[in-house]
Amino acid sequence: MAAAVDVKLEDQQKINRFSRLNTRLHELEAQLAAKRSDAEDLEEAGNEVMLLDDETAPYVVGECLVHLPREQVEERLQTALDEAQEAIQKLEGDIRSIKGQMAELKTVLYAKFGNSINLEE
Amino acid sequence: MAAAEQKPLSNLPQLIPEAVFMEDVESFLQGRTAEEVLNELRGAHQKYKYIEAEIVQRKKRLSFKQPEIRKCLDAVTLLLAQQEAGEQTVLDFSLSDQVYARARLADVSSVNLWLGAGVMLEYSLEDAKELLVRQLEGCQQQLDVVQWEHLYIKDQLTTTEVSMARVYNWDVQQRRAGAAS
Repeated sequence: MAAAVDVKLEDQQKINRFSRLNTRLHELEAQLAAKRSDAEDLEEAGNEVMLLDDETAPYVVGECLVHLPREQVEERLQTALDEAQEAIQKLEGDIRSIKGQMAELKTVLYAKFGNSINLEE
Repeated sequence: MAAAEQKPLSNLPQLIPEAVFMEDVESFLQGRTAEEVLNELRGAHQKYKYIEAEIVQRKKRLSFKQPEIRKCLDAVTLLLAQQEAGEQTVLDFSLSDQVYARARLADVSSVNLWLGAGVMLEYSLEDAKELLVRQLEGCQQQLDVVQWEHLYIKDQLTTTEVSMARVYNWDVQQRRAGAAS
């Protein structure tokens, strides 16, 4: 606990930045998990619809189940799935970049403060 | 982070003072005891925490509202498409949570939008769509502001936390030095 090194303004700014990134990281990770489960559901739904013999299939729009022609349902599911996957890729990219920035800050801050700083995640 | 760099539309910085960074602990104390300053910082920390909780709540509310608006928009868009195609729509709508009835919709040219506060207004499909699109945008803008505010308050929290640790450590060192001499 021998705090021989004093905190300078630039250190404080780095610590703040780390804290911001950390907050954002947790948010993005939660969003990613939600999107992934969405994508899974959509994929499953797509497979189920393919097995249907009916001409139409009920598809949720708003609060209703709308009976749409099967091709249209398949189309809509595919679009939704594509959108979800795009969002997943964007989230993954953002998370990677944030993690990279956090690792950089960690190196600098741990080098200066050693054990007297704890950068939790 | 883009959200951090954008200019704040928020008036939060005017309402909430920024946490002061202390260049030097000793001169910051100005003769006060560490305990006094620590208490002051703890008070400030608590206030920041309180505001953060409020912001997080607002963020949650907005993130919940967004998909709701999108759902409305989806429904109106579907009606518009069916109207243009001149087709009738067959759908099951919910009467109560688990009870559905079948309906045929043909020639729907208007919908009623719930505006809140017990008011519902009839809109043509085009107008309804426009209104919902605007609301969706507004919601996103508010979300951006709240996001910025969250990060702003996070900065103040972190600065205060670091200050508390520094005052505490400084105090320990002083005592140690006092005991040694």
